[in-house]
Amino acid sequence: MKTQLYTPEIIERFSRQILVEGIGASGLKKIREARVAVIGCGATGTSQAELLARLGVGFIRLVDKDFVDISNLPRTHLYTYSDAKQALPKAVACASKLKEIDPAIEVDPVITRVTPSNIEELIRDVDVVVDGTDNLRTRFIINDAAIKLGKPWVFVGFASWYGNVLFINPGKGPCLRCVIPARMVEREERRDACEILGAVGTAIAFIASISSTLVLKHILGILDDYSTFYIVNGKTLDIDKVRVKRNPECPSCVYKKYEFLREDVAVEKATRICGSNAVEVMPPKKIRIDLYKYVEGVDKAKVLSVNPYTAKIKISDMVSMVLFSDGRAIIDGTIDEEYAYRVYKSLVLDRLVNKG
Amino acid sequence: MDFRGEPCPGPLIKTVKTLSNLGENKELVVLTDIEECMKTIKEAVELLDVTEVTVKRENKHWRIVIKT
Ligand SMILES: [Zn+2]
Repeated sequence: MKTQLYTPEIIERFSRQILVEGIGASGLKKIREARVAVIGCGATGTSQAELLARLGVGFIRLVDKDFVDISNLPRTHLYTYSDAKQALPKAVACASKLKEIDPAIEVDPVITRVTPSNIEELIRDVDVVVDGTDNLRTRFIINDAAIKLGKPWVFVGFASWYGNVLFINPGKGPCLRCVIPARMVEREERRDACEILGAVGTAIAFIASISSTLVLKHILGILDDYSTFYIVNGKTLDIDKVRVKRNPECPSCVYKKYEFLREDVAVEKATRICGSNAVEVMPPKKIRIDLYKYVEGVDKAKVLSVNPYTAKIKISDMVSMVLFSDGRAIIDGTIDEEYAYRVYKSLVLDRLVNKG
Repeated sequence: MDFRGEPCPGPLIKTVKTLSNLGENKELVVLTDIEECMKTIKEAVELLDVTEVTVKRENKHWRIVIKT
């Protein structure tokens, strides 16, 4: 066989899809050869990743910095109770589930925070970028990089019962910045606005289905409209379509200033994670930790789980720490940044120093 | 394989299953009288590593010859 992307079994697998008008075997070939990056493997990211993998997309990169938590399970596709108990990185858990769905596809899990300095590398070799993020800053970083590299991407916003979708094809329609002003980022990041927003799993599936349909149509070459902003109400089940235009003064897609790619956001040593009851702590310098060795020095009763990517340590009845092998940690169960840093310092930094 | 009167995906699935057990330098002849099915089988089989696929119209059906 030419590649493992096409075998008699795979033709049989997709035989119902091949029969669909507008897809056929030639459509299957386009889908199979498509390369997609899903940025963020939370509620919308996993839903879209699963739909795209089942459609047959041959390469899917999964980018996420977080681990699977039990509170994710009502909204996310793919993740299981066991993934949460092991505190597996979302990118890794998502990739392994997609591989179970279709072992012939290539998946590329990347455990990282998306920054202006790594975004181009993350999307350079894909055909379409899918928004699975939960914040505007990251979306504007994707938007700038997508325009710079000429990559189509689909914006997916959601909260509660509601969602927005816009398929952006640089140069062929408006970009995110044409439609949403950059000042919204600061508004979203203001401390008092850093609230925990709920979301309904059914509404997410509805929104993900719209965005994935747009990605599918783009891959098949039958998407000819890059100017429709979808406003989705997952409660009344209404979909409003609004025509949006390019802003002739857009700093991103017209003047190509790429302001969101300019410099790395100053990363504080401990930052409350918007939308969750947790604080993320960054290591002071680049380190790599062998987590199995690390937990040898921790009271056994406090080690909740350990795998090559994360170690989960119990701090108190309410608080736990998930330590990643790159030295990053998420202190779960608190929003007190100073307390979180103290925990990190005593449990991670001081121990590493003692070990030399 | 004579699939006259049978709509796809049955003939498609049976064709590729047969191909997977056929080995190299063999020939498989498939008959169908449904144009959609002929196109589907031809295009799908072309995705696989076969040497040649030819289609001929014969009376009221198509003869698809697949060389592995
Ligand atoms: Zn723009």
